[in-house]
Amino acid sequence: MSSESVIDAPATEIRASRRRFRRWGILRSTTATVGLAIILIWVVLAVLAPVISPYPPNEQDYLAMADPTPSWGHWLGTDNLGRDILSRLLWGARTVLTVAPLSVTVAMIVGITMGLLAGYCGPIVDAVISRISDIVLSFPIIVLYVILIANLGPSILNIIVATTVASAPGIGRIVRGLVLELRTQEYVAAAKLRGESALYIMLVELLPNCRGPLIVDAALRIGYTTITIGLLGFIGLGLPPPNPDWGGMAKDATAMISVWPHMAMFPCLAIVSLVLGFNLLADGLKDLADR
Amino acid sequence: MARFIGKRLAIMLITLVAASFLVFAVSEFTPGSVARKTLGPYANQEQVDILSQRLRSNDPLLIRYTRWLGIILGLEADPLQDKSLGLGFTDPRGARYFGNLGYSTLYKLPVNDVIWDRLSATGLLAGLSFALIVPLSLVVGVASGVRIGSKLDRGLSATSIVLTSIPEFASGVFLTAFFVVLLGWLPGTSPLSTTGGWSVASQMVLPVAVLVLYDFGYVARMIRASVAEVVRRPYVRTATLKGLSRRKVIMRHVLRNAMIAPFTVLLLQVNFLLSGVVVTELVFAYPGFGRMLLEASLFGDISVIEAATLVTLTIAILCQLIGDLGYMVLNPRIRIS
Repeated sequence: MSSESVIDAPATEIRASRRRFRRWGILRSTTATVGLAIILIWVVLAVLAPVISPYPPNEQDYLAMADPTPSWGHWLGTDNLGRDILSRLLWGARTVLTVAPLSVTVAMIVGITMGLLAGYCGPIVDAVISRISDIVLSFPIIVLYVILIANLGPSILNIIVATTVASAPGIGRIVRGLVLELRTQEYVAAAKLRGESALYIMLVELLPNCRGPLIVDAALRIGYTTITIGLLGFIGLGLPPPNPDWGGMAKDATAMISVWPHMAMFPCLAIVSLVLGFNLLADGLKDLADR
Repeated sequence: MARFIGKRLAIMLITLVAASFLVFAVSEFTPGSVARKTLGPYANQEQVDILSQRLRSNDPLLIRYTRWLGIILGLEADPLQDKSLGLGFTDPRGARYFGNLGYSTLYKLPVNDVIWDRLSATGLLAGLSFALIVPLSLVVGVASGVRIGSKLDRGLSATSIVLTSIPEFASGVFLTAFFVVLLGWLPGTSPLSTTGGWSVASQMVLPVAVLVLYDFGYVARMIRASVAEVVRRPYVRTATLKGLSRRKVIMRHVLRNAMIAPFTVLLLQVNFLLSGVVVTELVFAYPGFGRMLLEASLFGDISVIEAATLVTLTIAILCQLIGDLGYMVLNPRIRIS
């Protein structure tokens, strides 16, 4: 998304951001603290879901089906099949909070590898990797997701694969830009003179110095991947039912929105709050780095 | 300049071929899949095998891809239209012509009869949204960019973070719940036909609103960042010290230079904006290009998927080219060197 500005950051700013991150003063930014708090609340809720959720996520309460709106028995109401929405949201949080960070981690590993190779291993490797990235980035993101998932079939593994294909080139570009700037630094020359291998230089000298922009980018990307997972669920390519999946819940409920708007609103609110948490965290971290 | 454009066009063509090959490979990787998807799930294996043989689907992928390109360029006849197959696929334009994108198994029409109407409907939606996003974000972005840290600026930052956290399908749900279900002011779907008793204009309101809401904060923030950077440049200080009014400084010296980055980034981000259109179309049952692509993918209509991705790729890559060229035209430093 708005990662472009990170790429353009000159070396001095990169170094400054590195110093700031070293102190880990997240709490000095209100924005980042609020974001982190929202995320942590969801993490706690997800971890405790088996204990605190009032009903099993797929249990049908046939009596509630007559009036599925929020009540004392079902705080957020039930869906059209009489399943408790609060319980399903709590269980759904477990899915999204594992799949989104996991996808971004895999994408980061692939993207960082691409970026380090492109930035450090000379013009030929760079040209090959950059062209491949250009091709992937020329696809409208959603088209890429739809084609991949529609052909591979919806599953957690395939969602991770699709996210990696879609985001690794962007991450690679960021790392490549940083490495091209960092490789002329004296400590890299010193490491070369010491006779360190290219692998050592990439992983020990270059990579740690890229982490500032990468941390911001990761927070943004987890938020965006949360949207993507919700979106895939919403267009019917999410996790197969009856897994509680926020996007899928919203999709099933939109058909009934004119009668029971709450069924669609609560899953959407859950997605929005979690994404907001990650976006606030990313924004606060970036602020701290620029300060 | 001409050499630059020529080089870019060549790269664009290569990217287009490579990307379309990828789509082709993913959709047609398994040899029998075209025949199976054309005949549907109820055809028996024998029928599928016969059609596969007629379509020469067992040839290597690269050969099948070149054949597909040949059909588009009008060098080969579309094998699906062969009368002896008895599929009933006939294109009034004939089986062999330039721009033949194949036959849709989902809509039972030539792809050319399906996609262009959809594309213009999407163009209408995207155009209307853009016509609102650009002036809105320009005003807000410039106003907060020249005064970083002001109330307006902080308000914009907060609003835009919240807005970019609401995916299009969620804001679609919220807006529908409020304006359609609660107030009953607007229609919940936008089929662009007036049979439901709602005017086409009223059907456009919610889809356009969803797109504007999601993208406005993002674009405004980009303009803000760019303006904030230009305002700090020495020539702006010189202009102020020369005694020009604040208005003139902003209009003549800041704006022109501050627009370069957002203009380019916007065109480079067209992929990101296109994705939003697809979702919006789905939420409001809007008869557009994105929804068609989605339906085709879910159904397995390979001709439409391949044709539609080819068209979106062309649009996206063209926009990126225009972005690059525009950057050169707007920025004299790059144009001359």
